Amino acid sequence: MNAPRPSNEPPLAGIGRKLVLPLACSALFFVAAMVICPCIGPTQIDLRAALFGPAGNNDMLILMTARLPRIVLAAMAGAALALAGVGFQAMLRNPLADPYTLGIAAGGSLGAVIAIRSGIEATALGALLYSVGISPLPAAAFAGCVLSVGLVYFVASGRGQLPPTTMVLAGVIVSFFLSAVILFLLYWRTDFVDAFLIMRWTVGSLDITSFGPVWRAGIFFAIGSALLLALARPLNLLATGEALAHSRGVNVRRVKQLVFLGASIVTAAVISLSGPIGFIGIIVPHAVRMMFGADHRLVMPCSLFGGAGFLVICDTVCRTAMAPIELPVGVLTALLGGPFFIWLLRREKRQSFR
Amino acid sequence: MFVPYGDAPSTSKVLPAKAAQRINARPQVSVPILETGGVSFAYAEREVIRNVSLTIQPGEFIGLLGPNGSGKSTLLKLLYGYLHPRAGTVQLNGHDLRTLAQRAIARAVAVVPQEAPETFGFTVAERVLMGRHPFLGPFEFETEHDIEIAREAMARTDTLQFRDRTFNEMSGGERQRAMIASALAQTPEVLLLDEPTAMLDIKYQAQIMRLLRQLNQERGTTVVVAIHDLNLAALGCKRLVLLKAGEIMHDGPPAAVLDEKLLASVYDVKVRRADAFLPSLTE
Repeated sequence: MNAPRPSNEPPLAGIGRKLVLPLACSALFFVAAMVICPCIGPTQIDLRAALFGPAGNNDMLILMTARLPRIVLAAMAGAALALAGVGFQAMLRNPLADPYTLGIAAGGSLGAVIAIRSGIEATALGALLYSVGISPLPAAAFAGCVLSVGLVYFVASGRGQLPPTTMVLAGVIVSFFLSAVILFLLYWRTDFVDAFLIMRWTVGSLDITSFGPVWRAGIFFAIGSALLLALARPLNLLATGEALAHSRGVNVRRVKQLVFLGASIVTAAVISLSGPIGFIGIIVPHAVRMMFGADHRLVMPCSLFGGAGFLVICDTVCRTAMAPIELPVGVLTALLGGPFFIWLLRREKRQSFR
Repeated sequence: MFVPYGDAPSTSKVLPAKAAQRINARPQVSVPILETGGVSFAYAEREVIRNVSLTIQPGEFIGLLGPNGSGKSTLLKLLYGYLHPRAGTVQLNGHDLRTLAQRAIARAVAVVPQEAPETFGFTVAERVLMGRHPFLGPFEFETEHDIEIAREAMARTDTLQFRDRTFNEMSGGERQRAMIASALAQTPEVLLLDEPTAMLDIKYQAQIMRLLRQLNQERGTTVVVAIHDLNLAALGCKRLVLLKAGEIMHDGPPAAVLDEKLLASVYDVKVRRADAFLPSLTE
């Protein structure tokens, strides 16, 4: 067993050492985005006045209502979607999986659409929700997420070990079905105001003007992220195959359940406020893997920071590029994500023939 | 050319009275490292393993033979608890697998699957270090000790030069060696392999078998390998278990199992023994 050690051989690096540089880079990217982006916008603001000026001055108002809540939401959404993307990709052993593969986006949108069409905000239930500090629309979207995820889990768990193929198929079918219901509700007695609102909940947008909802969603985000980050090493093994992971002491079913849970919680937290924003969950994890490698103990925290920074920048572009018209951020991420996705597919193909 | 049967090195442990009593039923000196007692298993209604009783002593080198669908892979999966038997028990060092934590099983038994898919671009070094998983706490990073074990496993399998490569950049034989390195990083007592040579050409087949035999002889690692190639099995293994339709047809030294009539009845094809053409594992 004692093979001679070649003298010129560099030592194998453990994850601890490999983690430092990528983590520092992605954290720096995130911090830079968080510092620079609030200063950018259609209106020029005086940062000193906004931060240290008398309470209620114009600059402060713009910063604290029009910009910061939105930027914090963007950061949280980007982080959540990128992290959930990593989780689903590893669990399903499918590099093209994203947070919405298992049908959660359609569920969230449908929840919001039902709330809009039923006019819940004007009903007694809506008033009750408002009175305890919950906006009915996000609550309905969250409930929609939970129900669709539950449905997919129910379908997939009928086959024992939660086989990835069954999960993806169940997710796709649930997505199609719920999307059809959304379209049905949209066309059933067309109303242009409703139609506009519904579009916002199917494309995704970060328009928000207060911190309250962000903090509430933040609790779910924190719980789900902690769960996912804690599963990084078992996910490494799971990504190499279920039987192999099992043979190395991973409780495969439990890890899958927890990833499913964690990724669903963070995604639902985001969808309940912003609606589904596409492609972040694919672009960011793959960019991180290409730059830093495949180890999930590295990919997960870097995707967290990378996703947050990336979506903050995307949203800033959407706010300012065509001002005063605001582009939904989902449009920009999809415009960037589509070509990226095609490039990724071509790359995967080339590799598999190698 | 066949290795004589029954020379499994007996690790002389002082046995607890109860264990000794249990084992006294058989004329053996050590606790079997793995033992199946009357194991049956079925996927849905299709029975794939029927009443299999197999005793594996420490230090044995066993080849599982049999036609496609005879239950070789399933039997291996039962041996490390990935599948649970419908009837009968599987014991590791005298403990029922069902009573053991998966981590505990993983510390004693390592598995090399038939093929490992490349999905996310893990490097060989990362894959080998994954073998240390059952020895690490939930939030623990690999220590210098773990890294040293992984390095030795890679040196042993001659895969150190591939440490920063992904599986896409390697040949089938190189991948298989990396997978064995990963299993060795688990410092297992038992190595279970599911057709490790199925995808390989003759050179790599012999290389893998030679490596397994070295591990078996030098470290006393118990090896159980499901294998298709009768000749390769005869070359490497000290004991062959012949399965057909989920039942053990024959169990014994290669010379006894590789019998023309027996093989003809199991594989439904006529075979002829031609010892003169058997290659040797030694270079």
